[in-house]
Amino acid sequence: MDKGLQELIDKSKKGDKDAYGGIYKIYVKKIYRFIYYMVYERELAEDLTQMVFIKTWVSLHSYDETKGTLQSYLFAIARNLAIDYKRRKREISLENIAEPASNHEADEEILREEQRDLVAELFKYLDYEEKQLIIFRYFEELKFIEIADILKQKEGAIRVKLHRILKKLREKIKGGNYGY
Amino acid sequence: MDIEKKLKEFKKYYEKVEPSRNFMEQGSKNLQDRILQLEKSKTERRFYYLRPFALAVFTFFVLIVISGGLVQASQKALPGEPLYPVKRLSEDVTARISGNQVNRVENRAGEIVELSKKGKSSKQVQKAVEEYKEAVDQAKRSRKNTDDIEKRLEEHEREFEQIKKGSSGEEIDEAIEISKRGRNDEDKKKDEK
Repeated sequence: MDKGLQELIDKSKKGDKDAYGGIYKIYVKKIYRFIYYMVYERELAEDLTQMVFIKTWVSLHSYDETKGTLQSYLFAIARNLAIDYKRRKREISLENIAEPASNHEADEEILREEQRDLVAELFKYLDYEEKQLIIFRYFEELKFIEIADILKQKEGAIRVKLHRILKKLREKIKGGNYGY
Repeated sequence: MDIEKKLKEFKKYYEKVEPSRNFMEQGSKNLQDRILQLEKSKTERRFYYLRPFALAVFTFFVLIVISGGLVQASQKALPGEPLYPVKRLSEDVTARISGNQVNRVENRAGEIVELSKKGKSSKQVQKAVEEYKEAVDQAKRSRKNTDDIEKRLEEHEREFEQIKKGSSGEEIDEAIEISKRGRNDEDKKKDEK
């Protein structure tokens, strides 16, 4: 682990809020992006991102560096929050949150952009877990062991799943137009 | 088609998504504020859960102080007065713990004297005399502190003789008789030893 980051973690564990602010700045965009592509609502994604960092602060004393990176710890919390939100939304029978941003009324800013959200277009072929795997592996470039920590699955199982996802996408993208 | 290569290209589109400017500018400060709020409410919650316990401890101590004060105040209570039951209760407790009946006898005698001095009804004085007799009998049965009891009974007799002068009832005579009998019985026990 990076020495500077380790120092921030150690200080944060002792209650140093400024040090924790440093951790926040390093990871906030990554966590936001991930959550955004889970919920497709900007304000909600911002709220949930804040929740991730609050929950992490509260549980930081129990974070063990030997069991995984801080990045995978944060992503695991983000993932759980997004899943909880999705579950609650299903329970009250609101609209499907897995819709691509280009069809989502709440996110007008994205719609106004000249370039369509190609990522969201890609994700419409994937389920919730498959989306996460693509984000972690290809967009956040996490190692397999980190992804395994986040999803609480074995590395081998992650590799197999990713292989299947790639096969699926290959077939879908072959016939599609993605702005190339 | 190299799908993995395509996906890595998609990364630049993925990274275009960012939080709002306001969020980026205020986010860190907002986070710190929320953390402070959380810590404050955690402290308040801790005290909130401790409150019933603290209240129970405080009430316990207050009761101890009040009961101690009550017992103290009740020592001069006479039959028919509100604190009199407290006096009798504390006597019973003391007698049970120490096995010493002297205090009880002393209190009953004192009550007879006070009731007579205050000119209370003969019925009340009579009741007090009956209680005195019961206390003396109980003290004799216990066979403890016999010398002390004898001394006290002698004093009681003298006191009763004094108040007899100002009293017209027969109750005081009876009280005198009780104290004499009590001493005589004590003398007999000594002789037997």
